[in-house]
Amino acid sequence: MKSFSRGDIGVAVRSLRSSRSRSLLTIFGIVIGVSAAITIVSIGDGIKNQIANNVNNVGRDLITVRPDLLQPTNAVSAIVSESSPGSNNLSSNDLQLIQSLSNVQYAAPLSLLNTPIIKVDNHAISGIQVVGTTNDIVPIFNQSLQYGSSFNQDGISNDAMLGQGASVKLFGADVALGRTFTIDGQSIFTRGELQSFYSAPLSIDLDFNNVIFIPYSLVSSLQGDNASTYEILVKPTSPGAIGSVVSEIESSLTQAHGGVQNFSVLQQKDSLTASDTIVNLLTKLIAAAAGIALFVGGIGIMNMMLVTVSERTGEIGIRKAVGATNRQILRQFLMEAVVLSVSGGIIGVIIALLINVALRLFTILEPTVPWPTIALATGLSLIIGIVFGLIPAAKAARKDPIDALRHQ
Amino acid sequence: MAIIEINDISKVYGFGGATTVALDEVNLTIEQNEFVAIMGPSGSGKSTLMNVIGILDRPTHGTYKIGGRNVEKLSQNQRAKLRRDKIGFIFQSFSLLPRLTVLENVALPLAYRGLSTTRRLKAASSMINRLGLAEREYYLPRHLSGGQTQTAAIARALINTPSIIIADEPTGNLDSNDSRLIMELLSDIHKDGTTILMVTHNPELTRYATRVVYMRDGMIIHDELTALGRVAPTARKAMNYLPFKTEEDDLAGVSALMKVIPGGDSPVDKKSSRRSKATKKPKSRSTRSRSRKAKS
Repeated sequence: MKSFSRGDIGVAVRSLRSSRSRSLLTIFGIVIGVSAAITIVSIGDGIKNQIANNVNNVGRDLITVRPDLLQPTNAVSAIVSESSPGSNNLSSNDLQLIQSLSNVQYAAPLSLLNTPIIKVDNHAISGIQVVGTTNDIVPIFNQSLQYGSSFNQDGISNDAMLGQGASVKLFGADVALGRTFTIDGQSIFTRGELQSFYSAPLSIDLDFNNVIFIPYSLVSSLQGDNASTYEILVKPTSPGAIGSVVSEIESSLTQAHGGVQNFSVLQQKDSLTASDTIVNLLTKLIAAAAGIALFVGGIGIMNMMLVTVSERTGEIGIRKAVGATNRQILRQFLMEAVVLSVSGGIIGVIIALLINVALRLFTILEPTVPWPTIALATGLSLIIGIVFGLIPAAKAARKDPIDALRHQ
Repeated sequence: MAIIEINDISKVYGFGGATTVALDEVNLTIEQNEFVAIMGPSGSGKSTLMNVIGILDRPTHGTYKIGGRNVEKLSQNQRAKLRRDKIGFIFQSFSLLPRLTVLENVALPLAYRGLSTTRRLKAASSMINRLGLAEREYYLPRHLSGGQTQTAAIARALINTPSIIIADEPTGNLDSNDSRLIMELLSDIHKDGTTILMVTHNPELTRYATRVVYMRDGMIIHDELTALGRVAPTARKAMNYLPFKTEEDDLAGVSALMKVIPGGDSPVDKKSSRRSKATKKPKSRSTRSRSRKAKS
């Protein structure tokens, strides 16, 4: 016997078209399931890629010293502690200690100002973070200045380097270089403007484009003892020295903190693991929800096919009278169920691709096109059509031709 | 060899006390190229007999041979294939699929034989042409007149060149002009050598038949050969009573018919008492003898 031929598909499409709105409503579950699954997986993969890119941009040899003790594998606690950089465990002494270690090329602190009041010509500006750091931050981030220069090295200077977003927020389209603004009443001179930072969504890093970098020494003069060091970024002289630098930092800081390890030293691969874990968890959860939608969609298809079979009892009788075998009837109705679910799957894929394009255009997300997931979703919709179409089709095939003919 | 051979076929519906006997040990042998009209009141078992002959229904007892081949031992699948290749159905209600065009309806049986779409549409088109419906090929059934619809149904029945055509009141839903058209068509098919079985209430239509079988209560009560072009002698007697215009008239005509059939209510018939259910006796023997008598 020939397998499903084009003619079978044509017949199925025709009879589905005759009840168009019902068919469309029926495949809705499949459409939602497939498009949700593909979209979520593509966003998840995209985020993972973007974070990995970010890491590669900064360099895989970056070491982060945090003021809390973290379990790097526990992603959720990493995020939670991220949002509360309140502990005071890292100081400028620690920074000097790290800088004095051998094999350390650069070390820069990141000190986040608590609720700074930023004003340009007496207009308050919001949505900008102020970070105290040193000139080492530029090579650590593999960054360079677009305009101007880095902090003045001679003593305390009230100057700043701006991220591009911060520059726009402060001065609009005007040239920022050489202009002044105030932080907590202190007048600050714009000395440099940085190149654009690559920013990844869901990353556990700050968006450095929206940051005003000020000299580390200025932080304590602005906020006194309230100022805390959020993290210290360290770059070893060579990538091969990461291991030794990490253990050196750990031992010397523990010693300096009176034998208590109340900080953590993270490598880039740790933060990758953390964000990957979150993304994977979310992806799995939503994929499960999409799976439920597919299942419910399959039940919808079964329901519609059962209705169709009893509505078309007369047609089944006629077809049997002109010589259709039970198997041919089964095939016809199974084909309809499969065409329903697969077209739902295809529409779902198309919608997912449209969402993909829209996300790329209108958000910072860069979702991938997960071909394996698309193939899986389409295959799954095919299987759903077969599984849930089988019972109604078998019911149609078993109909007694005489009863069926009488039904007209 | 007889194309249809039915031996002691019974069909019983239901269980226990609620059983209905639709066919009661019927015997019937039909030769190739006979045009058999089957007459009888509603519930006499005509349709059940047609369903059994058309291999749509399985008899409860008895043997049925089609072209010498025993049918009752065949699997579902083989029955469907035999039905497809040997038998064409024409129904009173036309039974075209409403969503398919005339062409596709006619081509439908070929699809189940596994022909390619092009070949079956070509074959269907030439069949439609032959029956004079060419300009209606792409119409949907609901856009056709009754006669055209039934012509399309006949084209579908003929498309597999069956050896037997089973027509269940083919003119029942048609006016007299369309009826004549359809009957002429069946007559032509008969001339080409096809065996035709036609259930009808209208004695007038026995003109086209070569043999008339009268049924009642699941039995064949009379079986006579008749000349083509002439109303069968027994049916003609009934026609004298009533005009046949509508289906009600037809049914009344059948009642009238039953009165004049030997073996019906006629006082001439010595076995007439058998009609009353109270005195029901085994009937197979007498029925069989009557069929034999009619044939000789």
